[in-house]
Amino acid sequence: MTDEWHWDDESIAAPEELYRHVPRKPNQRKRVDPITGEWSLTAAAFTTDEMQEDGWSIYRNGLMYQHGVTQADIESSGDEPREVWGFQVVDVRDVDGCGVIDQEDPAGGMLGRAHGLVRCSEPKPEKKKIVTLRNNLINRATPR
Amino acid sequence: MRRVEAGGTVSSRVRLTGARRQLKNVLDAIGRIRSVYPFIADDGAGGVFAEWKAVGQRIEIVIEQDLSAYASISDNGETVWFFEFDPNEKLPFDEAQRLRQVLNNHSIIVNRLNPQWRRLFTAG
Repeated sequence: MTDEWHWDDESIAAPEELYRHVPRKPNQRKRVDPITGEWSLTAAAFTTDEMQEDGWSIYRNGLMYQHGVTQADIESSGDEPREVWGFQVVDVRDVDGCGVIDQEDPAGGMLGRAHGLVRCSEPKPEKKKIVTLRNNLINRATPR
Repeated sequence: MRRVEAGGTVSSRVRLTGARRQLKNVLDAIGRIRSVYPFIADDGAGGVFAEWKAVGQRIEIVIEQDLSAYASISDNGETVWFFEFDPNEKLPFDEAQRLRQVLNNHSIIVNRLNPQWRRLFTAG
């Protein structure tokens, strides 16, 4: 066991798809663009609390394929219905000092083996950095 | 203001009530009669936020569960302005002015491109 902080795994390719699960609740997504009416993730989908606790939870497409799980497995996991939004590893690394690691969720069964975290180079990054990353991911994330 | 649901404990409800009041103070300081409505919701962690997003621009004001607060402006995902403030204090003049101007310009564009934008906020 080591206390070293892991925040990016360079073996994870930049174009790889990451899937963020959000509760199917109106407070997590909303038709906020009054020009297009398009749905978009909001600040509630990437809270500073979750980032400062351990990182933002994601599932990695390559590991999902490897372990035979699908987006439908993400949607049906947990206690309440979820929906899946996707972005790429490069969208995270676009922000200096931000990256992606694999971190199995032992309680998540086969799906848990595809689990990872979006993290920053510091365990408790400053809010400006979290918000910079969040703004980029909200701009890039699309529903899957 | 959209109803905000406080989850969990009594103490979290008290904090959220405080956050709602502080958010309203900020909105009163920067909004105008023709301003586009923000989307307002709880963040699921005991805080509350207001957000505008149109034509690639996103403006957000967040009061967190510990009653810390910040505002940011981003264009096509790039953060162009970030400001932390004490929501117990009046928003500093320069920052309030900046938010007022950006929101006003944002609202002018939205009103020009979609004069019917209010309908999007009434659909079930």
